[in-house]
Order: sequence, then structure tokens, then C-alpha cells
Amino acid sequence: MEGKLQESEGQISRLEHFEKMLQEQDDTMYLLRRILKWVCLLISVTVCSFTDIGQGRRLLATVAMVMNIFTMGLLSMAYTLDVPVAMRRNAVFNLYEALKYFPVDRLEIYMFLRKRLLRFLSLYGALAFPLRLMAEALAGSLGISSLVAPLVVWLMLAAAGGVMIRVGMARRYRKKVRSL
Amino acid sequence: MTGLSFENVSLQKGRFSKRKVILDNISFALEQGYLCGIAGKNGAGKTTLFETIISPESDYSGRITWRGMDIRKRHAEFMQYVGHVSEDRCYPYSKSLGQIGDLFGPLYREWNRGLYLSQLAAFGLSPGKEKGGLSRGENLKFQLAFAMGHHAKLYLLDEVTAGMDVIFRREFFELSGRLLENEEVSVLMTTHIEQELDKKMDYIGILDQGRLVSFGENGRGMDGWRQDGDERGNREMRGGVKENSRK
Repeated sequence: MEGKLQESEGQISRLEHFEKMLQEQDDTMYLLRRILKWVCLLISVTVCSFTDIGQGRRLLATVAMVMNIFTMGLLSMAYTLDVPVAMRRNAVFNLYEALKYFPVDRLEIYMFLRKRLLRFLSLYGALAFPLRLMAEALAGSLGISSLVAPLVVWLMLAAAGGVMIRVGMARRYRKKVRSL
Repeated sequence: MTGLSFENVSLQKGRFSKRKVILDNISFALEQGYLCGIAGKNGAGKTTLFETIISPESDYSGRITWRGMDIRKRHAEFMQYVGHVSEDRCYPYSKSLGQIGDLFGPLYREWNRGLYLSQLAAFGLSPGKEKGGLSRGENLKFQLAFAMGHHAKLYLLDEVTAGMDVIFRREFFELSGRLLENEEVSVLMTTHIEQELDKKMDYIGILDQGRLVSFGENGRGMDGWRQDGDERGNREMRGGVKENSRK
């Protein structure tokens, strides 16, 4: 079993390559998927940063959001593979169904999905925790509502991101002008 | 060397009183480098036999081995060697043949993109053509090209020649002859066409209601498979064969 597990871990890159090819071949779906993923991620992180909801609700919201985003990503993958609609109900099953008659075993697919889920959760944690801290600090110091605070933080971050992009672009532009 | 081997393989489907025997105690062995034809009337279990081999979920009893390896235990490894060609085989409809090759080909260890593309060209298929727009014959040719692209060692061909024109059939048997020049390759195909069994096959198996009523080398005892085998099964099979104009 251990040998099989190691073999499967070594083969995950085949599925990653498979996914990459799928994305490259379907640009529109790929772009849509990326946009949806980020929008959902930001909404869920913001919702979970509201300081005045209970821990239980926060946990529920987090789990629901994570599962939704994760499933949606896989559903779009199944869609691109033309897996029949009836089979799309279960995302994990879909990927397995699409690759059933190819040299890929179930364990390999589960390992691949597990890796994706862990990566997603770490990204989620990296965003949600600092945002909540900032929102709490902002709500405490400025005396604004704890519901609005995370949104204000996002707006500030977006503004900072916008400024950085503008500065970066201006620098590139200056470099280009100098090179002429 | 024995390639594919069935040892007392049985398959039942349904529950309780509706439980039905689909494959009944099937045993045979196919040597590498040979072409074996499985015949039988509709519903005899030919397609189920293939499904049993290729599906990782097939709940059969008995043992199926490939070069001595139990395929149930190492199904993904076994599928590296299999080139399954069937009308029912699912590939994404909206993708082009080139894209399908790029997508699924690298899942095989011995994938050769150049060989796949050249084989498509030999069959008169463009890599830019969409899978959904292929005719039945083109679909089978594409699947053959894909199987050749990953250097399949066991070709499972499900009714590939049924309903095809004479030219395609001749080309197909020329191609399978070339494939079998490689002694590691075996071909197992189902057919309804009696002439193909007589002329082209090295081994012949007759399925009737899930039972393998006869199996053996063509021309050795099996030459008289119509007389020696299960008379009822063979008679019924011939009854179900539409293209049985004897030569």
C-alpha cells in the first residue's frame, strides 16, 4: 500500500499537466474560472472576517465557502471534459469518471484533489487571518462597525494594489522611453 | 507468451430475484502476437466482456491476468497497455483530435505524439477536426490512431468492422496484420461477420448467453466450429448475423 501511495504521489504531476492542458485549451472557461475563484474567495474571506458573528457560524461559513469554491473548480473541469450533466453532481466522481478508462487510478485522483484542497486552504488562511486582525484593529481604533471594517480593509488593500500597479506601469513606461 | 488470460470469470448483475448471469465461467488464454475474434448474437455478452476487462469497477468473480499480472489489482498499470476501440468510448466532443491527443496522451508512458499525428494523417483525419463532427468510421479510425500513438499492446476492438464498407474492412485487416508483426501485440475483437472469423482470425471464441461455448485455434478443430461447437448457440448466432453471405 505504501509503495502504491508513493507511486501515486509521483504521478500527481501527470494530472497537474492534464489540468494545465485543459486550461490552456479552453481559454474562456479558464479565465471565467479564475475570476469566479477570486471573487468567491474574497467574498468568503470578507464574510468570515466579520468580527461580530459567532465562532460556530464563522466556521460553518468558512467550510461552506471553501467546499463551494473547490467544487466549482472541479465542476468547470468536468464541464470542459464534456462529462454528461447527470454525472456532474459529484465533482470528485466526475474527474474519476472522465479518466476511468485511462491509466489513472482512484488513489491518484484523490491524492491530486487532496493536494489542491490543501493549497487552497493555505491560501485561504493566509488571506483570512491577517484580514480579520486588520479589521478588528480598524474597528477598534476608528470606532466603525465590525461589519464594515473588513470591507474598508479590502478597499484600502485594493487602493494600495492599484497604486502599486500604477507605479509599476509608470516605471516600465519610463524604462521604455529611456530605451528609445 | 500468454497475454490476456481469463480464469473462471463470471459476472452477475441485478439484485435478489432479478439477479442475472451476464458472463458464465469464462476461461481462455490469448497468446501475444495473435488475432482473436469473439462472435455471438446480440446480447450474448461480447461488449460486457470488454467492459469487464477495462472497467475498474467491474465486480466479477474469477481472475483476469495480463502477462501474469492480476488486472484487478493493478488496473491503472494494465490500462497502459490497452487500446480500446469502441463506438461507446467517451472522449470530449468539443475538443479537436489534436487537443485530445495532447490532453490524454501524456497519461501514457509510451505516448508518441508524432506517431499519433502521422497515423491520423494516414487515416485521412485532420488534427484540427472536432471529435463531435466525426462519422462512425472516422471515430473508430481516430481511436485506432490514439491506441497506436501510445503503443498499445492489447487492442480491444468492439464491433469495429460492423456496418463499415469493404474498403475500410480491407484496410483495417491490413493494419491489424501490420500491428501483429510486433510479437508483443495481441488483438481481441468482437464481430458479427462470419467471413472475418473464417479468414482473418487466429483464434475464434463463440459466446452464447454469457457462456463461451467454444474457443480454439482457427482451422484446428475450430475450422468446424459451426458443427463441433454448441450447435444451438452457433445456429442462433448465425440466425442473428446479417452479413453472413458465405464465400
